[in-house]
Amino acid sequence: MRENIKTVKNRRQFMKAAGLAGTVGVAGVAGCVGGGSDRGGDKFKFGVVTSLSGDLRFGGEVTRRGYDLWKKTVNENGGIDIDGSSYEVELSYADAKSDPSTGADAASRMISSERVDAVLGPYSSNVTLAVAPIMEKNRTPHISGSAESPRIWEQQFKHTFGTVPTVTLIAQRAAEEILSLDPAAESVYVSGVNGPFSKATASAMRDAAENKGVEVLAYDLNPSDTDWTNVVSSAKSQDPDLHFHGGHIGSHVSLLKAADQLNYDPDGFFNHYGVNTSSFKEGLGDGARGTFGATVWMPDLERSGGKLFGSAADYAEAARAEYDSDPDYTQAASSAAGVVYQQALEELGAAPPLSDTQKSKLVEIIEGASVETFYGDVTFDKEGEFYHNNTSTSPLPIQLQDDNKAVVVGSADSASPANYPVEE
Amino acid sequence: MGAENDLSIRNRIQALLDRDDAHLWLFAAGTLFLTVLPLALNTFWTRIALGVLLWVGLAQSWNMIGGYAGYLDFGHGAYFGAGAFVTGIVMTELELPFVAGLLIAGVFCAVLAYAVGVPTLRLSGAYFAIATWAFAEAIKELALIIEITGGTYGMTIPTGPGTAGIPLVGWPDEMFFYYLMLVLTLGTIALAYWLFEHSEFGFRVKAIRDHEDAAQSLGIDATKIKRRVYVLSCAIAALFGSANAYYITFVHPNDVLAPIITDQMIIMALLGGLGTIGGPIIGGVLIFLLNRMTSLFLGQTTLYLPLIGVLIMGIVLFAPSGVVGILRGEVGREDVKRNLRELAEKFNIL
Amino acid sequence: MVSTELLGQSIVNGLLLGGIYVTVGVGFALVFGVLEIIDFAVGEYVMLGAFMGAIVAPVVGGEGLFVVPLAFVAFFLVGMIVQPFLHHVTTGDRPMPLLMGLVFTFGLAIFMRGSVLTIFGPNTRAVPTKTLEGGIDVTGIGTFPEVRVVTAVVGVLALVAFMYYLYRTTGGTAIRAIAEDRDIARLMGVNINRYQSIAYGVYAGLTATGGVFIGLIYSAGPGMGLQYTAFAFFMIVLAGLGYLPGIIISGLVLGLAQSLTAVYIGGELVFFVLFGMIYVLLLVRPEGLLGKGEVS
Repeated sequence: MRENIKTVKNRRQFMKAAGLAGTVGVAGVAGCVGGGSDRGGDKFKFGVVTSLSGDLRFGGEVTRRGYDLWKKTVNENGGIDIDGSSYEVELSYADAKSDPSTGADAASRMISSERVDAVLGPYSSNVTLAVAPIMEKNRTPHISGSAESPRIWEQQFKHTFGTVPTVTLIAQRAAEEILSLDPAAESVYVSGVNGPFSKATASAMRDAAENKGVEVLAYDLNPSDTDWTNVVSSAKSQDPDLHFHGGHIGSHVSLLKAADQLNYDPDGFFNHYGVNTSSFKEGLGDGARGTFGATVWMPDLERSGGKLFGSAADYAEAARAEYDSDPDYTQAASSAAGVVYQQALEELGAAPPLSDTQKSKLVEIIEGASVETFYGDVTFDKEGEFYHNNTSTSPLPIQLQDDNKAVVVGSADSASPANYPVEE
Repeated sequence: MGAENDLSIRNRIQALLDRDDAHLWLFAAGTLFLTVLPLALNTFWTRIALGVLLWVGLAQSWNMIGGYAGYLDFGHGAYFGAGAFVTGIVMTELELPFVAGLLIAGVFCAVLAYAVGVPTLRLSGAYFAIATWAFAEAIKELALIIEITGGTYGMTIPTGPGTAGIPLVGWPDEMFFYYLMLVLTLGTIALAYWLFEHSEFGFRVKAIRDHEDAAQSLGIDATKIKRRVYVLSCAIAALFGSANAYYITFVHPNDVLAPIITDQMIIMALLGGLGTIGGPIIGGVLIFLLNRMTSLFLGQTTLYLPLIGVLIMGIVLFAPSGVVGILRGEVGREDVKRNLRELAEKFNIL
Repeated sequence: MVSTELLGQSIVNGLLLGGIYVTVGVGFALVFGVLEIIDFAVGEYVMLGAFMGAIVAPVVGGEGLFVVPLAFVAFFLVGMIVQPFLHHVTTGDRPMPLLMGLVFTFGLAIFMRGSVLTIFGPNTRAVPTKTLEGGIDVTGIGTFPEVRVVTAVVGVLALVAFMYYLYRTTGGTAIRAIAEDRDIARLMGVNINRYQSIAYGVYAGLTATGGVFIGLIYSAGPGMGLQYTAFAFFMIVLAGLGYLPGIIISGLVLGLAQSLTAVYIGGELVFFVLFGMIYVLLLVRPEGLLGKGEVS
């Protein structure tokens, strides 16, 4: 009997539930049909898909600053010039929440609801790899100011570009320079996090050592939240001249702290990505000093200049005025992505909103463009493993010196002398 | 006055809904509505609608083992991820179309669930919860290391014309995925309704949940029945994992095997109402929309995270039977008052 | 290639790591054993403790160790406030009390993590110390990092102090009586609410204290809690659910398994091995390694 009563109850709840679900559904539809945003033709509209929350929020925030600063500066200078008329720039943000499917939905919203002319891309390769197919399907141009993983370019996406050279190039060239410091290192211990970006970084570091004929004592990959004393102990027992590590900031901090606790003291540490960020410096305090890193851009470099920002120093000054902190290369590359769009749009000469044919034409222009910027000359590879990646901005090794200030070291003309072997 | 009116309207609706053929009509009406729905939506909203269907289906699959059978499966997401990778491997290594990947993923995960279920279902309560969670984490770590899943580089799934293996499907676009999810989700709901609300099997499952020992002494083969529910619910999660992988085209262990996948299924089922058909539907719709819409409403902050935390705690505190319980009238003003009074008593620590 | 030096160091690392885990496992085992609550928020108490270290230390002379007693008191109070809620959702006529407790603490964990992320941002922060820097080299065995040694000692001392309270004082007897049978304890005049709140408060305080030390060893970041939740689960499974003294053994086993796997099998495999161990252990020996846990 009780069972029977229960069934009746369950039926009731099913009906009610289904009824409610239906109501919510209808309300949702009503909401969205009404919610399609009207596109005016007085502005260029860019969609920004980046991670403002979740694990990648730190990197996402850096890209947001870069894109915002570009927008602000363009509009202060009267906007983008199309045959004598000026059009302001509007950015529309969507949070990818560090999750690829959320990123893909966000990208789709940019195109079908916000009707943007072009997209500025996400931080992190996983999200980029989910967003790029949406751009292919909708034939919409997409430039990322931060994606460094080589996997993106292997996929040969026609509509996706990146202003930061792939980490394969950054880590390898910087590592080669560091290995050339005097006295030349004879052995190196390579460790890294077993993540897509980090593994590519560590493997580029290993390649650099092998190219230079330096003995690679180990190639040691670990989960990011492992206890790094294990790696440090293994490394210490093999006594390398240099220690290279590929990972994000959290793992650098843990590794260097473990090294300090176990009195492990090679001639130098080279970590990538994120040595020149406040998070790395705050996480280690005084312990950050002497660490080598890599960059493609610094505020005090001589770069071509070009549109909007006359030089690297001008850009740094504008960034400091806006955010009260020094920009790093990811932020600069994100602003440079905007400058690339600006020049390409002027060449296209079409007023917003862009038609599908105009968007396709814009992609062709970007592919063939050579853009002078405060960040450096930007050109995109037209074929090969780095297809549509800007490989022409040259990577440089850096070191945190007094007051944790980053300076360029190595063989470049503007380089400062390295503190090597590192003395605390 | 108003309250009386409400009551009589409520009674009338109730009477209507209690008619035996009413669910069938409702299901038919829902199906019809959902079939024509995409005609009114642009691509983005079609994606949102298909995301809702995906999560309603997943929450319903968890509800089978967690809500109806009362076994807290904290590793259900392992099958969602396994389904994704099996499909990817079938499509890349064997170069078979998606439809083959979908079927093989379902069968493979059913076999896997059987093999895992036999030893694991001997545990219960917290032990079962922790064991399934550890199993899922181990699977994720394994997928990050071995080569066939692409390891930490993840896996790109083929897409484009001819990859679906279904006649008349050209480029698999949002419309295709919408109707694919619609078929899977409606199928899951119909199956759950028939099995758990309309057949003797369902009574047995609930008897095991409520009093496993007593059920066994009445001659119910608890081991066998639990195993069947587990295998079924896991295989369904795998089918959704497979469809989702083909849809997103890129799968990575840290995404499709993330613990948050399981957590979300549980919270949806709980918020809607455990062990009911309507619960996961309501919970799935609400939580997915909340999740996708927060950035539209709250702008560029992470404030939605603490708010979701408060929401979850509030539901557990005041509406443990979920939205279904609220609709059933279990969370009236009196209930909330009583709840608060009892809570206040527990602060009496002197 | 096996050098005795590296083996010695790996064992030292593993044992000290185990000591760190003990600071997290003690309280967790207590709330499981006595309150029958699986607290998903355990790692978040670690995170909050570490953050408190990072934020308060600069105010108290740049020394993280000074924050330790403050963190214990602060989170003891937080725990006293949280416990009545937990007690409420896991009792009464609610369906599936175990799930309710789990989901409530899951919500609590999201709330804590999200609040810290929203207020302090995603950056990692150092917990400064001036006294515990570097390590002590012991010839023939290896290097003992000062901060880890102190942490491990504190963890074990906390456990011993706790066992003393539990088995040698009136309050402890009351808590054990509640664990034995809540209704009988109530009939005997034990104020259930008070002692449950004390037990949870001590757990929250101890775990946050462990968090300050963990912040000293690594650093503080909003996402750091999750892995300690995982390790806490690992330890109570290994110890035998509900068996408190087993925590020392299981902490050390966890630390050793981690360091030896990383050095001799492969760093990538560490977590696969650990989670695989939990799963298999639950299947073959649900009463824990020592066989003293309760089996449901």
